[in-house]
Amino acid sequence: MKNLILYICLLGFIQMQAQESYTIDGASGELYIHEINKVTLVGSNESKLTVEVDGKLYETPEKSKGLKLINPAGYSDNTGIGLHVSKDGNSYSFRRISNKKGNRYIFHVPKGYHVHYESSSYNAGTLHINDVEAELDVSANYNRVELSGVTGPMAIHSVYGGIEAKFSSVSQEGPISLYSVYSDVDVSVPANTKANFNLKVSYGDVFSDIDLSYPQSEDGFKHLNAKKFTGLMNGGGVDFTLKSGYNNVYLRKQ
Amino acid sequence: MFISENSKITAMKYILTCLIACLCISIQAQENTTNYVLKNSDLKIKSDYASILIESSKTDQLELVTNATLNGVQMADLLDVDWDSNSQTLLISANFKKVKKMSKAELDKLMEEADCEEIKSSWKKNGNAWGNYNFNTEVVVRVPKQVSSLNINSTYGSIDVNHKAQTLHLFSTYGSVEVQPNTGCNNCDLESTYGSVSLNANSKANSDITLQSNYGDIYTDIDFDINKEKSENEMFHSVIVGTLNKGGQQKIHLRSDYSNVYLRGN
Repeated sequence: MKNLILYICLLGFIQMQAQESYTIDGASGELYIHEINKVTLVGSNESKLTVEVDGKLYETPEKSKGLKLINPAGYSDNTGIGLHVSKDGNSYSFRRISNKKGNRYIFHVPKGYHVHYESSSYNAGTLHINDVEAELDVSANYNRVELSGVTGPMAIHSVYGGIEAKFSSVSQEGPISLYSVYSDVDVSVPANTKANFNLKVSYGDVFSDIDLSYPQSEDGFKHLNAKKFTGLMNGGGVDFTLKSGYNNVYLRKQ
Repeated sequence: MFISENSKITAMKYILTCLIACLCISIQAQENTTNYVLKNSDLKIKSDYASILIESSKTDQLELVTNATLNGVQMADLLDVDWDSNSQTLLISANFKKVKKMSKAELDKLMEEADCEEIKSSWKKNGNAWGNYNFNTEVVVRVPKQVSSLNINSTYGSIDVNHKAQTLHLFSTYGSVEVQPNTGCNNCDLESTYGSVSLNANSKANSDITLQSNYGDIYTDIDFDINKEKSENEMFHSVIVGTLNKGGQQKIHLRSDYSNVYLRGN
């Protein structure tokens, strides 16, 4: 009897936990995240995409019982976690529905996904990207973007937020670009990284502890400009662009 | 039958408690009712603090029931009511200055009149600090059938309508606005800046719907067509424009800037 009660309680607990997450089966596809505040992307070895709410989902008002949450684009909460997801083939688009300040959403992303994130809100908070080997496209207005354990390929762009990235290794599969218009770009790469660094700053400076080599161009000169130059690391490799419009670029060796 | 002395005492105590409770309820239930004669079907109400409940009257007169308490003690003159018969406007204002002008001795006397020990002890414990006053002001307005247009403006109080009217313009700055089922309004304009807004509408009507919330959410159980071109979907600014059935007959406009909007079908 005790075991039965324990089992029922356990099932109930699992059910409660399950209400706070949403899963899509499949190890590959396109993932679009539109205008969702407070997002963390975490790499996953599982063959499914899981979105979970960090902490408890915001409290649904008593008055809303029997009603559905709707938004002007006609989307409703079809995930049970305050998000709308639409599917087009192997492509999944997640959108926020609620105007209320919600908890952080954690996306567990398998390697086979290509992730597209866009945000224009000044309340978007920091976008955390941890141990993600998937390809990344980030377009943000106000987000600070913090990456760790990433590999690329990726294109990270934030207008007002700074970008800090610690690479576990640098993938040679595609170009890497990190660009902040008004804040710092701070990047650490392993010492054995092979890359062609394109470093651009309009009003800031470039700081580095890496011995880059500067290739000769076709005219026989080494083009060295304090604001815009190319430097090869370990003989060169993948195209790796770091750019800040009004602040500094920091390139570090781990 | 033998009844012990203890049982008798217990029974007496029980009866006494019931009597005191009844007395308390009776005092709470005292109503200050005023009647007004209406000339036409339009009614306007302006109120500052009192919450307004609109009900249908069984008579052809407007019936006003006020209930005002200070820390649970009835205080009939806490609410001032003026009736402008030309514009058919009720002006309801809470006159807190009356309390402010009262001396401590007068206030103590007022609290001594309270029949409930809890209030007395709370008053003695909390003292005469202004923050310890708990006002509760409610007005029930019983509206005759002929009133088909209601225009209510409240600053701090909530508005709750349970009366069939063709036109409803309800606005509260800090209170919630709610319209109960089967009110049958054709032009429903409900708005609150900080409170929630809730309407029970006829889901079979042909309605043009506009729902707006800036920092709250919008909920409904009605399946209506959303016009995505006219709707606005920005961060902290949501306007849903849509049509229920064929549209064109009924107008529904619900707006809350900082709270939720609820549209229910019935």
